[in-house]
Amino acid sequence: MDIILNVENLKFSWPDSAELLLDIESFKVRKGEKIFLHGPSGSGKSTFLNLIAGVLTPQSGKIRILNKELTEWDQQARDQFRGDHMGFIFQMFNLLPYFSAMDNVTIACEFSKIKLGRVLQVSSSLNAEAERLLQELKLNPNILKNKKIVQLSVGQQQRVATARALMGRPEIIIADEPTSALDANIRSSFLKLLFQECEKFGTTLIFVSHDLSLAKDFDQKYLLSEINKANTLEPMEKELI
Amino acid sequence: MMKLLKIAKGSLLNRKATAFLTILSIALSVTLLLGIERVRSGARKSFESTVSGVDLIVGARSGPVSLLLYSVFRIGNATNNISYQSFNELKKNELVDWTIPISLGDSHRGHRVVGTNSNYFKYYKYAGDRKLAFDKGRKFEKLFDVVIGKDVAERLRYKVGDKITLSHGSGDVSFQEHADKPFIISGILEKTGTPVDKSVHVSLKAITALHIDWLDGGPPRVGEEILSTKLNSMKLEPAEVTAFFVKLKSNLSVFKIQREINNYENEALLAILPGVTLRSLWGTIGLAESALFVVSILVYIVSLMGLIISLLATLNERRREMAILRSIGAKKRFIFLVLITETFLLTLIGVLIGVIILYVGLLTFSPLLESKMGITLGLFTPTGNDYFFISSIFLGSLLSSLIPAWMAYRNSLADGLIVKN
Ligand SMILES: Nc1ncnc2c1ncn2[C@@H]1O[C@H](COP(=O)(O)OP(=O)(O)OP(=O)(O)O)[C@@H](O)[C@H]1O
Ligand SMILES: [Mg+2]
Repeated sequence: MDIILNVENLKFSWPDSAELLLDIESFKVRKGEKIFLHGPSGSGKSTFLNLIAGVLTPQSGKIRILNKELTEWDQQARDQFRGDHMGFIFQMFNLLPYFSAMDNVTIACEFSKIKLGRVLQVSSSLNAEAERLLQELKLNPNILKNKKIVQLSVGQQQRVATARALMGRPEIIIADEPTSALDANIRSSFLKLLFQECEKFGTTLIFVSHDLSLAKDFDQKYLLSEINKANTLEPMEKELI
Repeated sequence: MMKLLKIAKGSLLNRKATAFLTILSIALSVTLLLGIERVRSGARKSFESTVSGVDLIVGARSGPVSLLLYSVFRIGNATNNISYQSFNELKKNELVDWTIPISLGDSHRGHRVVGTNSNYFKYYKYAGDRKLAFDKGRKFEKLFDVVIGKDVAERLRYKVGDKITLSHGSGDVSFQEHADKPFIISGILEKTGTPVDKSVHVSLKAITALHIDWLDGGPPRVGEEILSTKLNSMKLEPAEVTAFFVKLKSNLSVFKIQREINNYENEALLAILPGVTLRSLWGTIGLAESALFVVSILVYIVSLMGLIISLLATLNERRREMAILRSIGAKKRFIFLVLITETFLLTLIGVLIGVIILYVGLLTFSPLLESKMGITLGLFTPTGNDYFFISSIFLGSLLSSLIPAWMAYRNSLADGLIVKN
């Protein structure tokens, strides 16, 4: 199977800290895989996702996504690449409060002609595609229309955010603890929907969470500190692992 | 760029209250800046149009400004009069087209009495090309006829045919009444918006008649008054006038005549060019106007600060919004532009509302100002100055929006896609 993400000899430290936070010799993800990444708080999971997203630049090493050497690109090109080929879901407050749910979903295509093109291949309009996605995620677009974002439950918000991430069928979905604000019974149904959508188009999923109980359905499971040679964790944090 | 506008608009609508207040403060400073500019130019225009079509004003030698003040604005007093002889001599100069003599010194209930001749009604011009016209009645014909300005008529509720007496001296509280020689109002002039409205006009002869029986500046002794009836048949040749206006046949000779008058050998005279002196006088009054202008600039600066503060205050709570935008592919520059666009929208709406307030304000207040103070503002037709102010306002707010925009950019750079709150 194709390697969609290939990280080699990645070294990263924050500008204001002397120690290396991340030192990853090799990390490979195959197309269509669902990856579970866990680790204690502060171990650098979100930082790692930022590097993959191209928002941060490593001090050295290579990040290769879809056969593109992102580390050799400039910031703007990486921003565009992120908009074109990735979708993000965060822990909470994923939505622009001043937009409707519908606009929050369709805005993904306003920053990417590639996503826009893909949507228009399968749907008549951005709104039609957004409605379809929301429906697949068990949300009623008509009910959403009359509600402000802040009036939605956290579970509904996360599903709207997921619809946005899926909009335009990006190759990679990156989710940073998307379920930790949800309660346990919604959590598994949310995950099921997310899986179902990713499987439909062979989308690669990189999923970060503390919650090991979710890990069982993933193709691969990584503990960040296992792949990360830099070990900056405090002794107390090590005990917690 | 549609998405930029859409996002900026959405974010502004999301905090309507602050956006509204910011817009309001910009609008008010726009109204103030442009309004003051309007009042300033209106005041200046009506100031400069107090007298027109006059080439020279001649009086006894004193300061040019004080000559202008007492002859045109009827403020202050002449230190000296000039002899009627000198006036006559100059009047006969072949280069002179017409003259209007002015004789001051008396008053009626706080209003200056102007002794003059019928040339006053024939030639006096103000506001460019407007001539005096009668609202009611006619000019003075009989010796004890008097023509009053519109303000005098309104303030004292006079009508044609009313009898009034003049007082000696020009103070508001007059010392001696010319009670023995009553006048009859023969005409009321139309409103001019100039000091003419506040003046009481009689003939030079009447001025002479009023004082003919006075001795050494004092009222006639009892029993020595000359009765009005007798005066009518007397030959009343004035001895003095206070000043006179001169119109030349060709304004090429203005400087020549001015020099001749200033070097007149029989008497110490002063001839001024009204336009020049008006301008130098305005320069002095202009200080108040500059102060107003400074105040309106300060108001604008305060509104700019309000603008920056209102944007800065939201930056922290908007870090997540910026992270979301970044995650869907927005470039760093875009975050910067979002804030610039928001400022631009706030300023644009503020300026529009400001102009509307000004427009409506002028529509309502300009008739009032015109009737009360003779200042014509007209409607709001933007001038070069206004465009300059408006573009400065835009420039100012764009420059100041660089601060929040830069901070948002920095935040977003530090945050990346992770926002910890
Ligand atoms: N913007 C930043 N600037 C400087 N240091 C940062 C920044 N973000 C994170 N860090 C540091 O990097 C380290 C890793 O943080 P990160 O957020 O990647 O951890 P995490 O594994 O995602 O933790 P959690 O599970 O709590 O989300 C921490 O020590 C943190 O202080
Ligand atoms: Mg994290």
